[in-house]
Amino acid sequence: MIPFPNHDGDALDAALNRAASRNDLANGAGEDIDAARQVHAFAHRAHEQSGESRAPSHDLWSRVLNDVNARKESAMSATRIAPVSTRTRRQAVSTSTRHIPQGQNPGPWWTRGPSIPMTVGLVLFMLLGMAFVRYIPNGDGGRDGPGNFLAAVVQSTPATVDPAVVQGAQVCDVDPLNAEQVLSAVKNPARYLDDHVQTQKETYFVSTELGAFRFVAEPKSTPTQQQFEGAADFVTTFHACQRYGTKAQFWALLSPFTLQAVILSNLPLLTGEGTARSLIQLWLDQGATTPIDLPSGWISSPATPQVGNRPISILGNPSRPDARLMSKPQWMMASGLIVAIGSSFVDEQGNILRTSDWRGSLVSNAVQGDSESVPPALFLFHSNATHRWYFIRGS
Amino acid sequence: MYAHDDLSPKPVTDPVNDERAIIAAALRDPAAFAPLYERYAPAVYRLCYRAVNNAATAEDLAARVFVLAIERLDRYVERSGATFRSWLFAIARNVVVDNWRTSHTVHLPEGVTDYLPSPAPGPEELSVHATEMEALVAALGTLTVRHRTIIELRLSGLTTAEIADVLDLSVSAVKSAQTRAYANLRAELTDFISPKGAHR
Repeated sequence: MIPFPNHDGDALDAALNRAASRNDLANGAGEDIDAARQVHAFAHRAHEQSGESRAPSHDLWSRVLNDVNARKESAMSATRIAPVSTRTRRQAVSTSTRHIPQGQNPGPWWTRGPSIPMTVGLVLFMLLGMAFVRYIPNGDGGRDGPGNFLAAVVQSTPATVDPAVVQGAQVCDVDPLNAEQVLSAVKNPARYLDDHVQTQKETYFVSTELGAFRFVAEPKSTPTQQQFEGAADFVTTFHACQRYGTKAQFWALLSPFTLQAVILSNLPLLTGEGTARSLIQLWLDQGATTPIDLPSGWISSPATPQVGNRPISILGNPSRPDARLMSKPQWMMASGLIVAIGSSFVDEQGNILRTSDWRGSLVSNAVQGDSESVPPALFLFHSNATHRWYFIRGS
Repeated sequence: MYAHDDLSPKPVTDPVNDERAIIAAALRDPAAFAPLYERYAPAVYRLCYRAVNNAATAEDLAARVFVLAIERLDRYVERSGATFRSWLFAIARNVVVDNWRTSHTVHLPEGVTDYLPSPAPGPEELSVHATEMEALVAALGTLTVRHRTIIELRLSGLTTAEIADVLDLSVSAVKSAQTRAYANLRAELTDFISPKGAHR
């Protein structure tokens, strides 16, 4: 008997529904409404009977406010460098003003020629300003260093991409997985990923907790050009396969750990290997990627394939400074690197309509007034063993 | 301050404009979010409670929902078919799912080929639950993820359009799924719900 989470999925659901439709779901509309009313009445009664399930305690709102204020305070202390530098700049200006002798006012600044200190100050101010705009909102406090800062100044998000690339983003040409490969990843994702990794146990415990991943992976630096190009290409392939590929192709792009979580979260509570294999084969036979691609919260795909009524393709964000190499060189016992990277919505002519950075924050938007979704950001793993990229999770 | 004894949504003359004004104020001062907290806290808490069947954990989750909502308020944008409520419950759903993942560590031993049917409680087992809340939680646990989510959002007061927005489904898909979801849930609760809806 194997303890699986009680977290059934929609593919299994479809199979159950097919079976159910032969039996007891031939209800008319009146029966549907009756069922809804009875369930709601029962739920209401259950909450009323159980005092503690009726409503939260009186002090919960205070707790929420305290938490919000504490987190805001914490975030402010992390970016305290910004107001300090502003104060210093203001003090410098006022000090130089006091040094102008009385009665020798040379007139307004635009009537004078540029002085060396003024020119140096202006250049420094511009550089500081760019650094502030570029890095402070990212919240990673200038971890990237001066080299990457200059790279950020030089590189900016291009406004268009080659239409041939857009065409390529509408085809999924990934080799599909078979049921045995999927089952192998489910049973031992580390061994599947890297034959050189030796686990002490036959069974392999893995936490699929999202928060834990956020905790261990911190942004470190901008990826190298080679790392970035590999990641950006993978993002384009990922979106293409999610939209146009089969389930077997799409699953081939997931990290074995992610794939394990996907499969486990869709299997019935207690399942043996034979049943798991059969269900995996059933899901693969269904072909299309939906509806059990990824658990909720693992990636936010755009609600519609259009932005501003224009059909779009989804590509990796082509701006390297918008990506981040993460700080976890070893992840789940598999060695490699992790890159976080955003996506771009691109129209058929190659015009970039909307772009997100590595955190999934909007960094450019050429379609004002359209409140549709932000292109998702992806966390990717590059295995030292297989030299391939894998999807870990989305923003 | 949240009124403990009044669980029904507060009457408002123009909910959209009312919420818009509260959100604008809360962007400047989180304390101004209080009316929205009062309006939605019971439903959010109940949703969390049904997920964990424990008051302390449910409060933790509900607190997290509102903390995230206040922190992310600047990201909330009005869209057709979507409401503030659907946005808030999308956060609640994610918090519940995250909690579920945190609390479940799984493993699959190799070489096991036996198959045992799902241990989801049947009507006989449900009937021995001490309280109706336990029965409700157990019955919800027998549903598929989608069915359960739809029922949970329905119980939280969301409309079909709002649920479609939260789940990124079409309205017709939600309608179709909820019909089956209600039927399945009622079937699990037959010992508690008579065909005519009378309490056991």
